[in-house]
Amino acid sequence: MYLSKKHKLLFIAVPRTASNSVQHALVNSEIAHETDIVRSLSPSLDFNNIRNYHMMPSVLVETGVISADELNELRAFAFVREPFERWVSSIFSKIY
Amino acid sequence: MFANHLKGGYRVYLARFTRVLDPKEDALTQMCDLVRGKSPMPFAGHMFVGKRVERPFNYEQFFYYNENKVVEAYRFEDVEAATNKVLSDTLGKTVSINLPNIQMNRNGIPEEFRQPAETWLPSDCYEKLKLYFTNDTAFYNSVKPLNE
Repeated sequence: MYLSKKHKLLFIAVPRTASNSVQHALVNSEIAHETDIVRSLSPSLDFNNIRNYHMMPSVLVETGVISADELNELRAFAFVREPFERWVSSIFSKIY
Repeated sequence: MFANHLKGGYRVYLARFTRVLDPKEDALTQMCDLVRGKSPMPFAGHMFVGKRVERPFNYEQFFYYNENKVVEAYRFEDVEAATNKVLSDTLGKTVSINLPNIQMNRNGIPEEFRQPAETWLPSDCYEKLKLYFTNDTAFYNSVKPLNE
């Protein structure tokens, strides 16, 4: 999950949709700012880490990362993958 | 044991999130066993052990809040172009970056499994998964490619 309050931009990391690559690009782009909120995968890959990385909009609001009003003011984006392809990718994933 | 909590869709849910294959066993057999719900579950110690999965994965939970769509959806096939589009829109200038391949596991999937699932997955497994993926498939199909 990547949140730029400065640019009102939110990236939601849907599992197995190249989210790590996208987030890496965002964090290393010109939009990066010290006020950014970034939830990355840690090497430990425990349950909480994965859950925080793949935060859904409802969880962002429930955990106080942003308010519902702020969510509505953001440009948020995420990716979808053909379900069978995503299933195969997850099964052969080295990570999860 | 965690696996004992799992019924129906939750088995498939885990297959989509966990490393379930034993590399010493036939991959397709294990995938079919998982879909068909045979026991034991073909996954060992894992970070999800001990955690009750309360709801299966579905795309809509990543794009909706209070039944309102709040997240723009782009297709995985457009991941680089869409990322550049969002960055360009945000910065007000053209941005063209090459996405790094991080954990994309492009070489980890055997060639036979990169083909359409209906060509290699036994029909009973295919039909069961197709039914399970109904809503996600509809959501995916509702997202138009960037070049359309």
